[in-house]
Amino acid sequence: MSYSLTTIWHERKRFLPGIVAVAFSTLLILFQGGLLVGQFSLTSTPIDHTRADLWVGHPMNLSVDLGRPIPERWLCQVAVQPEVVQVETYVIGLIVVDRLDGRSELCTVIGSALGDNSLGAVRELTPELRGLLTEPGSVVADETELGRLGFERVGDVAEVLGKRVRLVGVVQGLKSLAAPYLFCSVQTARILFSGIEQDQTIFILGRCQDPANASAVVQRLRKEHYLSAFTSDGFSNQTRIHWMTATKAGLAAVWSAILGLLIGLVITSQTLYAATASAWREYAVLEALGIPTWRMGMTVLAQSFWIGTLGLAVAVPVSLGLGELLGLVNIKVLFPIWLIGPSAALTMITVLLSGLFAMRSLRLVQPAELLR
Amino acid sequence: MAAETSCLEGHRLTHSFRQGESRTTVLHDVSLALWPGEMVLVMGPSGSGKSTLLALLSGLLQPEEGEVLIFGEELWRLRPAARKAFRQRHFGFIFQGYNLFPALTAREQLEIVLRWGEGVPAGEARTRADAILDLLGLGTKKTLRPAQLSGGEKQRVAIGRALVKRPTVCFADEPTSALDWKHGQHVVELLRAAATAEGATVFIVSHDARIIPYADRVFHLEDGYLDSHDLAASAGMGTP
Ligand SMILES: Nc1ncnc2c1ncn2[C@@H]1O[C@H](COP(=O)(O)OP(=O)(O)O)[C@@H](O)[C@H]1O
Ligand SMILES: [Mg+2]
Repeated sequence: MSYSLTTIWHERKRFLPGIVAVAFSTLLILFQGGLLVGQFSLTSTPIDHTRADLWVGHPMNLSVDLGRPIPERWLCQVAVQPEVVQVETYVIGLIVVDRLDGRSELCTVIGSALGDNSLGAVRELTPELRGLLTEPGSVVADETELGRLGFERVGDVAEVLGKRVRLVGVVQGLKSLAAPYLFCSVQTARILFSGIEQDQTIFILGRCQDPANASAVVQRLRKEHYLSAFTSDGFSNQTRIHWMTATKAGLAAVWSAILGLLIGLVITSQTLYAATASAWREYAVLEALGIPTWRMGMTVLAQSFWIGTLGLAVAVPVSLGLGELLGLVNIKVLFPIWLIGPSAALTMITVLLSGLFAMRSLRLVQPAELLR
Repeated sequence: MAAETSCLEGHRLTHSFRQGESRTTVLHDVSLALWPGEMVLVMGPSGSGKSTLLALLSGLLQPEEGEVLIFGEELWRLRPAARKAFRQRHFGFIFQGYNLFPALTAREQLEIVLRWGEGVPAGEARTRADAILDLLGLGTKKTLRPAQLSGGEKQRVAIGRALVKRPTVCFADEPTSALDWKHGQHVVELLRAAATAEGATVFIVSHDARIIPYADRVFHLEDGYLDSHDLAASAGMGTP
C-alpha cells in the first residue's frame, strides 16, 4: 500500500490525470446529487417546518402538495388513537393566482390552524403574522417569490377565481421548487382552493404525546382504516421521492452520473495502464525473481485505491464548498450521508475496476525481453 | 572444484529464433554444469548467444532441444507455476539495465523482493535488506532513490536485489557494460564477495574480458558454439 502511495507521489505528473478525472466525475455526481436533493427538499418544506408528527390523508395520496379531499370527520379516527394528543385540519392545494398585471401564476395554497400550538403553521409564521392571517383572504409568501406573484410590498393584492387575496406579510427561507407557497388560514384556503367542500379537508395532522410513538400510530391507522398515514419524516421522504421520480429529474441525474463514472473509468484505467506499462522492466525483474503476478497486480490495485482516495479527498470538500457558495445565493444544496456514502463507494468501485483493467498490462511483462 | 553434485546443468541446449521466413540457430548443442559456490563466466562477442544461454539456463526461455536440470530436476518438465516458484526459491537476476523502480528507495527495492516473494515480515525484510546493502557499501545510501544514485551504485542495488533472497544461483547479464572499468571492477568484486558471503553460485555472461580474473571458470561462446575448454584453468588465473 505505502509503496503504491510513494509511487503515486513520486510520479504525480503521470497520475494526476487519473486523480483529476476521479475528482471530477465524483464532483459531478455529488454536486448534481446535492443540488437535486436540495432542490427537491423544497417540496417537503410544508412538512419539515411544522410540528405535526402524523399526516393522514386520502388513500391515493402521493405527496404533500397533491393531496385529495377527505371528510373532515376522519379527524375522530386520528383523535381516538391513545397516543395522539392533538389533531388539526390542513388544507393544501394548487391554485392559479391572477396577478394585477394580467398574468397568472400557479401557486400552492397552504391553510393551517393559526393558534400558538398549531401543528400545521410553519414555524416561520410569527404570532403577529398568524394574527394577521386570521383575516379571510390574507396570505403570507416567501420574500424571494413576491415578484412571481406580482406583489411588490405588503398590502398588495391579487385575485384567485375572482376572489381577492391580500399580502399581509413575508417570511424567509420558504421558497418552493415550482409553485410558490401562499400561507394562510384553513378558512382562506377553503375559499381559494376550489377542489374542496366545506366539510372536507386535505390532511389531518396529529401530534403524539411522545413523538417516538408516531410510527406505531401510523401502522395502526393504515391497518384499520382506508386512508394513507405517514410520520412526518416518512411523508417528507415520500414527497421528495415522488417529485424526483415524477419529474424524471432523478433519472437524468443517474444517467449523467453513469456518464461521469464511465469517463472517470476510462481515464483512470488509461493512466494506470500507462503507468504499469512504463514500469514493465521493473515488473519483469520481479517476474524473473519469481514474485507472484498477483502481488504485482495488488500494487496496481493499490495504486487505483489511492487514486480513488485522493480523488475523493478533492471532490468531497469541493462539492461541500460549492454547496455552501450556492447557499449564499439562496440555492439549496444538500449532502446527506446517504448521498455522500454511496457516491464515494461508487467512485471507489469504478476506480478499482479501472485498476483491474490496467492489470492486463502486466501480461505484457516478459522477463526474457530484458535479455535482448 | 571438488563439489560432488552440480546445482544447475544445461544438456545439449539448442535454440533458434525465427527471423522473417528463416530460422537462425543461435545456440548449438551447448552443455554446461555449474557447481555450488563457484563463479562461472561465459565470454563471447555481441550476438554470440550469451543472453540466450542465460535465459535458457534460468528458465526464462524454453529451449528447443536439450534440457535444464536443477538439482537433478528437469526445469521444463515443471508446470509454469512450479517453475516460477522454483525461480523464486533459487534464482537471482542481474540484468544489463538497472531496472529499479524510480519511486522506491534502495532499501525498498530489496524489501519488496522478500516481502512479496516469500512473505517475509516487514521488520525482517528490512534487516536483511540493510545487511546486504551494508555488505555492498551502500550503508549510507539506503534511503536514496535511483535518481540520487550513480550508475555503479544503482548496479550495486540491483546486485543486492538479486542476492537478498539468498539464491542458489545468481544470473548476471553484462553486469559491467554500463559502467566504466573502475566502477565495473568494484561491482564485480562486490558481486564475488557478496555471492561468497551468501553462498550463491554466480553465472555471468559478458563480452568484458576484464572480468576473467574474478571467475573460477571461464568459457568462450562463439556463434552459438560453446568451447568446453576452461580458459581460467589454462591461463592459470582465478581461484584454483
Ligand atoms: N527474441 C529474439 N528473436 C529473434 N532473434 C533473437 C531474439 N533474441 C536474440 N536473437 C538473436 O539471437 C542472437 C543471439 O542473441 P543474444 O543471445 O542476445 O546474444 P548476446 O547476448 O551474446 O549478444 C542474435 O543474433 C540476436 O539477434
Ligand atoms: Mg546479450
